[in-house]
Amino acid sequence: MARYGMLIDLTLCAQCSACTVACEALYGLPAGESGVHLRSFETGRFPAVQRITLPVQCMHCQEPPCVQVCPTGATYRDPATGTVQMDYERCVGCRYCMTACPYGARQFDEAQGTVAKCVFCTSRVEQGLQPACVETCIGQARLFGNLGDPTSEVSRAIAERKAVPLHPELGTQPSVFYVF
Amino acid sequence: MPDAQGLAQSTWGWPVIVYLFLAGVGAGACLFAWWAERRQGPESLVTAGRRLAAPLVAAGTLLLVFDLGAGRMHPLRILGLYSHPASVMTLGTWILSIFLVLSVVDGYGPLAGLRPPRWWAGLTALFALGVALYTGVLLGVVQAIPFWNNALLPVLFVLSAASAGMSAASLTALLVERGRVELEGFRDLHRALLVAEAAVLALYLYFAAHGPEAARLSYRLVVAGPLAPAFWLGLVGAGLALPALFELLAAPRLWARVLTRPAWLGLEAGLVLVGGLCLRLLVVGAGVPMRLL
Ligand code: SF4
Ligand code: SF4
Repeated sequence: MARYGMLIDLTLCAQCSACTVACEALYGLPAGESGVHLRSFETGRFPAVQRITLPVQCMHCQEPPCVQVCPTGATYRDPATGTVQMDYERCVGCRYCMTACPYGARQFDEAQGTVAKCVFCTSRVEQGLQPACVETCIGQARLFGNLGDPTSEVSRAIAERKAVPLHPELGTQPSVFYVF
Repeated sequence: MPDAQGLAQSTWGWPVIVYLFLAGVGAGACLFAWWAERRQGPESLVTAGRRLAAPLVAAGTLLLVFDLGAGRMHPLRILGLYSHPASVMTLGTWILSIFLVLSVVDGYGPLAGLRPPRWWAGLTALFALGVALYTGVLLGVVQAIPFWNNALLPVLFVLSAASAGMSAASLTALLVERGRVELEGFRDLHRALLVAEAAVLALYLYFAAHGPEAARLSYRLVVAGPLAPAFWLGLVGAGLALPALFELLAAPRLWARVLTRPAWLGLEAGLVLVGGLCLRLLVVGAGVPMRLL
């Protein structure tokens, strides 16, 4: 029982969008439908305002609201990898999952009429490769591995660099952690 | 009214808004018919409510099906909607389906010589309540959109469904009977629903205004943003204030005779329906997702 997870170290992220493009290229996605998006926000209150840009993708929540709301079971949690996956043959394109994802991680695929998102490149990982976004990242801001194993590189880095998930208070238990 | 681009929440647009409205009115009409029958209300009013339920809910459901992506291209997949009971949408699909069967027999069975047993109408009304409730719960469970994630939303939708359904039945009966329907006996119910809806709406918006950042943004969109005309003119003006004014004026003798004329009663019912549509537009359209940070 693995739990695939990722660390994104924003102190190393150059905001170059290479991850976004690598994802689009690998999966042949139209522009704008990548599994990874760079999103910018202003945080804090004047005068301590800060602009933060972070790559956002499916957080592969362990308690995923998208799976909870999906009426067809098209989106499901795969217990073997701890990832959240899509069965496109079942998806009816009702987009309930899109409204329910607190991370804006899902895109509507107009052509197929289904909803797509980051799948953590599980087919690459099975072949011993890294996810495309991790491999392409120029600043090595991304680490991928098994969160279920406390001695894995990613688990140790999360602990050492005090990485945190987004909106932990929602109880979704995301598997993507950020260093701010 | 703002167009689809003017909505803050863009995943679900007009088809869902109109669906929520039609399902609410249809369910409300059924509930009203059940109540009116128990109160020995005019036959035409009871019949109107019963016959409106199925076509309105069916039309809304059809709209929802057309709004699907892959489900429209591969209709067999729609059966999958029944398969995941943990999802409120699966629950709703079951409730809608059962309600449609019940309400077709309830409203149109007699035309085909079918006399359903007495309890049938009660069961249909129970499922009508289910339809009205679930439309609110569907949005209410979405934690990612704080404006929706409010326990008052289902209550608000049920009250609005009841009053819109009552208005749709009254309007239909007025048209069918060319104005010769006795609606006076239902004024109290109508007034109670208006007051309750206004109170719950105020509380709902109060929570939004004092809620998390995204909910406060939704609140501002509703009262002062691009959706404000639908709120002030549509929901507050047409849907609540004008009907309330009619009801106030109808109390003194002088006005009562004017305001009980069919044209005025019909106008009032129409205004309530406009308010019901605007409520769904506002709730769906102003559903700002929570921020990432
Ligand atoms: S990030 Fe969104 S899409 Fe991914 S598992 Fe969590 S809720 Fe689902
Ligand atoms: S769009 Fe597809 S994956 Fe999303 S909730 Fe609907 S059926 Fe499930």
